[in-house]
Amino acid sequence: MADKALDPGNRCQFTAIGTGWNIDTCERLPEAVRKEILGLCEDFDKVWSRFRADSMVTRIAGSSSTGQYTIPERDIALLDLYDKLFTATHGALDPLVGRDLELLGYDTEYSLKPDYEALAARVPDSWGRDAHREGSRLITERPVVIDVGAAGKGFLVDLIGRVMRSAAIDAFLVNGSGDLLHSGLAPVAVGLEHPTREGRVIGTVALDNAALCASATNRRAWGQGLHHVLDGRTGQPVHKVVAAWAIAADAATADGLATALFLAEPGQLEEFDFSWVRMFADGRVQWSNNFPGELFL
Amino acid sequence: MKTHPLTRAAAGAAASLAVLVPLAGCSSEESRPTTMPSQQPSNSSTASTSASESTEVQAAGYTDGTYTARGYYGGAPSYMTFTVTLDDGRITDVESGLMPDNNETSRGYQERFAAALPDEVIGKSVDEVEVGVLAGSSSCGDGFNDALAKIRDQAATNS
Repeated sequence: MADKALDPGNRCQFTAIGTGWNIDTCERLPEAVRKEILGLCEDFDKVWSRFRADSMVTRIAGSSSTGQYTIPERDIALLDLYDKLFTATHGALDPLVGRDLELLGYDTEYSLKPDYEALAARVPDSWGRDAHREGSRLITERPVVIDVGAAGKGFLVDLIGRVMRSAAIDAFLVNGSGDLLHSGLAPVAVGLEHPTREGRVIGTVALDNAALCASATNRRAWGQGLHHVLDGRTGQPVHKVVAAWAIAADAATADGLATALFLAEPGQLEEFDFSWVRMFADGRVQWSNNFPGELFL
Repeated sequence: MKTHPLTRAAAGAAASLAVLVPLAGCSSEESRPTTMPSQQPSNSSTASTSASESTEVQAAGYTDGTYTARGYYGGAPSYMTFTVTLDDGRITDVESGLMPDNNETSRGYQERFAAALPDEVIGKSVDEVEVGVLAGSSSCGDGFNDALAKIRDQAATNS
């Protein structure tokens, strides 16, 4: 089965966690697997979406003071990854930037209007101070808004990959709107989209049994200097890096690192096994020596 | 944005070099970056200079050609070589090279830069390259983008 090519004619398309997904396989995805994946996405969304009223993170955000919550066993690894990224970036990558995003306008109503008064008085929450976690137990010291935007989608890509493998489907490409997980004998050529020049790529790379995730601040921006990648220590958007790509064995790690590359120097991320490319606001491009692709610079 | 004063571009290249230094974690002592002229200038080289000197001179004072500088760091010492091409007083190309006898550990710490002219990275058209899938931000088709589209529409109507 794995020696066949992935067939886009069999593409399974759906919308989940507020964005578009594609799964390419060799044979048509069985309906039972498709249903399981949709159920998984819905369940993940119900825990982590800060945009829905019935989610766990909305419950946490609405708690009066301290709170104690149980994280699904399935998602402990996601918070373990956030712990690692928080430490490696010295607090710059922080899942508690949710409230700051809301105040900047990236809120449940998508108001896209910053609340400057509240922002001026704001002291950003810190994952190291305002929340404590041990295994599946999460204790919050005050109402905090968790935003798993940095690694959540990649983590869900991995969970979907796990569903595929347990259904004995070994050749696939899961594409969570640009967060990719590949499995199978034939590598897939991936274009690294130019962040500002539409229809252009700055490089290509053969994705071969690995994950590739991208992050760019230009498109998901809603005003002068306002976008979704925030430094957790300041609660403010960062401007030095405009796009980053990371390749790792799993999509959660690749996704988290693609964001971390906006917030930290690559040398701080040495404990992770990955390769990367990033583009600065002044047009310079930097990449790791182990980046396996080609760049058009 | 097609032309940039040389000083700015050169400062960018020097800044890149400075950024590299903290990444070289192979030595526990503090890294001391130094730049010095290459011992073996490249073929087309008309002169050799250090990157740090370049930033102190006026743009008009430069002669076109290819310049090479080497940045040293760490205790070994390790180095990276940068070759800068000047054309009409502008940096048109910057290449960085690693130590030829680099060991695996050190290689892992080094990164490469391509200091193309700011705003000049144009990449290639998607039509020119054979790719099965794109990784970037365009594929987001979510509520956020819908909201953004509405705001743009409003702005267009109001103006």
